[in-house]
Amino acid sequence: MDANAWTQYGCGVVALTARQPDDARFWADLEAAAHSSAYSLGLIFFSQDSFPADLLRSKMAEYAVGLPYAACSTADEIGGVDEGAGRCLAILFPRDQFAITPFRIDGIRSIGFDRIVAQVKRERQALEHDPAPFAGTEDRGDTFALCLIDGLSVVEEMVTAALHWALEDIPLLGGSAGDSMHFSKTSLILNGAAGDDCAIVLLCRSRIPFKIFKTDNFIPTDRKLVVTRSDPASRIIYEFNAAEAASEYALAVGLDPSSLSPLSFASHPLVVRVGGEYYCRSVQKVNPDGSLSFFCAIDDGIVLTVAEPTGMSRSTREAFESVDAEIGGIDFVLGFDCALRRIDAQNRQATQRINAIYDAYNVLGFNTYGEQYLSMHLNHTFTGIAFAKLSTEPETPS
Amino acid sequence: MSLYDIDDPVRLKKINAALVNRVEQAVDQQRNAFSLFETAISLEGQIRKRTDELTSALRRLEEINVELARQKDISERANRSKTQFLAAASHDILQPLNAAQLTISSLYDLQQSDKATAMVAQVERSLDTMNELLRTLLDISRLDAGVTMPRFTSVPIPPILDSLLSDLRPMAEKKGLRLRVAVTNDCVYTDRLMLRRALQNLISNAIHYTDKGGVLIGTRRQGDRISIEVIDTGRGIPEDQQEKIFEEFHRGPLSEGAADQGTGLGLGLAIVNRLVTALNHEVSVQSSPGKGSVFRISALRALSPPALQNPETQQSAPPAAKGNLSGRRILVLENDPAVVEAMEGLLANWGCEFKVGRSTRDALEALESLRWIPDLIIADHHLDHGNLGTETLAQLFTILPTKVPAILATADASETVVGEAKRLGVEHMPKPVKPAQLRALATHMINGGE
Repeated sequence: MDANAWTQYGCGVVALTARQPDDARFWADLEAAAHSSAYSLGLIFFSQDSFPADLLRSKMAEYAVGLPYAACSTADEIGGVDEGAGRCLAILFPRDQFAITPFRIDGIRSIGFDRIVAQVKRERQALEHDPAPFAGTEDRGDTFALCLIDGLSVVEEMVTAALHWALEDIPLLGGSAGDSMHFSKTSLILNGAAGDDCAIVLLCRSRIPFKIFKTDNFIPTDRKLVVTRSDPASRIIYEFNAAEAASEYALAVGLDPSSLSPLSFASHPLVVRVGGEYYCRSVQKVNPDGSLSFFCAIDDGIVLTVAEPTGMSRSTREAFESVDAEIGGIDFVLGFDCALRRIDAQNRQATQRINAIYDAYNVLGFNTYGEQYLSMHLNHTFTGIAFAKLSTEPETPS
Repeated sequence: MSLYDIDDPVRLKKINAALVNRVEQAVDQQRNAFSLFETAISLEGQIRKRTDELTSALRRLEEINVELARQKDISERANRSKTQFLAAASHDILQPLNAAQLTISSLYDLQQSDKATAMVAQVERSLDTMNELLRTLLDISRLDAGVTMPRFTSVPIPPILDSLLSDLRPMAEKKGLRLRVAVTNDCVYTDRLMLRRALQNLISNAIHYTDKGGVLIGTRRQGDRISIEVIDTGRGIPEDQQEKIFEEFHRGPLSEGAADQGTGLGLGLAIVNRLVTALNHEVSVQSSPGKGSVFRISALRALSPPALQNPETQQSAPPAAKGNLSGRRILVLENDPAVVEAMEGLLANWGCEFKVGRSTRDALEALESLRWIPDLIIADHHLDHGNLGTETLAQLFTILPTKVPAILATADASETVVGEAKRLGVEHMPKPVKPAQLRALATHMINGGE
């Protein structure tokens, strides 16, 4: 199994996985990769239960000397070999195909919209004025932006809107960092500096054609919940329909209020209708006072509809097939998949089917506390960027 | 329990209030996180598309602007370096031509047969044409490069035209054209030589392109301005050509004879345009094909009569005295081998006794401790070891017991050099030097000194 821990895709992107922090092979591979100088950046998704952020930082400092990297804690990793919870997944982007400018926006809870816009615009200008992002070619590639953001910051909407505003026509995609469903503290690391209450933005130039996309699945029912008392700033709903939020929700979905868990929220998502479309507003947890905390913005007076997340594997497969056809074959996908989608799949015994789809299209990514897509912060959704297979060249004898 | 099953009026009231507030808040457009989310969604829909279009249009414009600025910069730089190069190279360009003209003159004197004489004369004319062409090009480049700076004074119009027409009248008479002047006794604030050059080109052009009738030069006052008009009865210029004629190497169809005379290089109006621009005057043309044209230079009128003119007429060619240079001692200060050779041939033909000095030290040695005193010194400005003709002359003058007349022959017509020549009391003669002119000047100066 160790022999397969290093997976290389057609465009040269490499995925490495480790189950234990003392996986010597993983660190030896990273050390070799860093030493080769062939990679412009390492993107690392880790479960901080088994890989504490500080340990990861010191290991990276010891082995991956000189390799720029951005990392965040997750609610689980997607892709690479040796699937299963609690791993560390490293994705290495080859320098000849990807030029990446990473930067961190600190103190997102207090920084404000305008200062984020200013910072992103500065970075963007530097990126645009780089005369030759790729050595030895005039090809400048196409640009996209990735963001990794503290999933417990409660300001993802504002940050996403600011990023989108500053990035203008550069497509934005991202995921909210998680902490294995403890809802206590996430970790984001950029080049050895760790923290929460921050977002890491990666401005990327890719010589590989790409396409961003999203997929979700839910069918609204006729059961409505009106938010009659809430605290939008902390994303807590105290009352639905002028009754205690947790009880009223349980009543609407037909469950015992005392048994509410992530599984309940995954199986019975709440959606809001905006502009003729439904968008999911996922419940994070039940609080002791019977209120509900959410993964995304809520407000007084909004009408939530109970939905049924049916046909997940079918809608997911169709989304991938469509993108695959559009770009002429998918090489690999960087994906941000809602943690509740994974839980819902497990509940429906659909995990294998979903995993098979992800494997078939080489999805690398993590389970999130929220997904960013262009200007939106979403829930219960898969957002991804698919990179095209390059036309197959005749194999050179090795 | 569904929302629709609720019948508790307290709860219903509360739900109702929440909804009412929500609706009102949505209208107020408060910027909390949820409204940002809603905005994000609507952005995706309608606004985004329009923003995209606008953004990409703006970006295209920006790119075009950047590209335009870049191209403009490139062409301006290229133009600057071209003109700077030409202005700087003028000395080197004219030097070999000068040598050739001197040599051809010697060759002319050596010819026995009429046929050979005619051929040499033909070559000499070609060299003259080339000389004229090069000078004009260099003048243009000097104007473009900003090397030629006008010296503004108050200049009366009639004297300029008097001197011009004495040169041009024979040309008009040869074609059977009337040449008339009807100008007021006004003054223009201008550079006398530059304005003269511009008028000369306009009048000689008018003569070239007119086959019958004549050319009238008149003035017209317009407020504080005055325009000098050159009116001909020539073939005229079609309207679509009237801007192009001021471009280089654009010329109208000449009558058959004119082309043979080597005239009409197509630079006349180009240089007029530049001269007039440098002088802050305006040039314009009105023309009707088949009837004739009016070229007009409009300038600020000078209100006061001019101060005493410095005697620049002195500079024009002196009367070609048929003096004898035979046996005269000439010291030539020149370091260009081709010019030295040509001068040697020329001076030998004239029967002069001459010595050549390539530097100040050479020149001093040539004097043989004052046992060999020259009757005339002909000096180039650029000598070996970086010695300047004016410096060498100044040194020689301090040593020589008598004032020896000297000619500074140089392609360098800058104010510094002309001023320096004047200060030293030597004659400045622009290169290329025409043998006949040189001979006449040399004779005049040697005889005048006696």
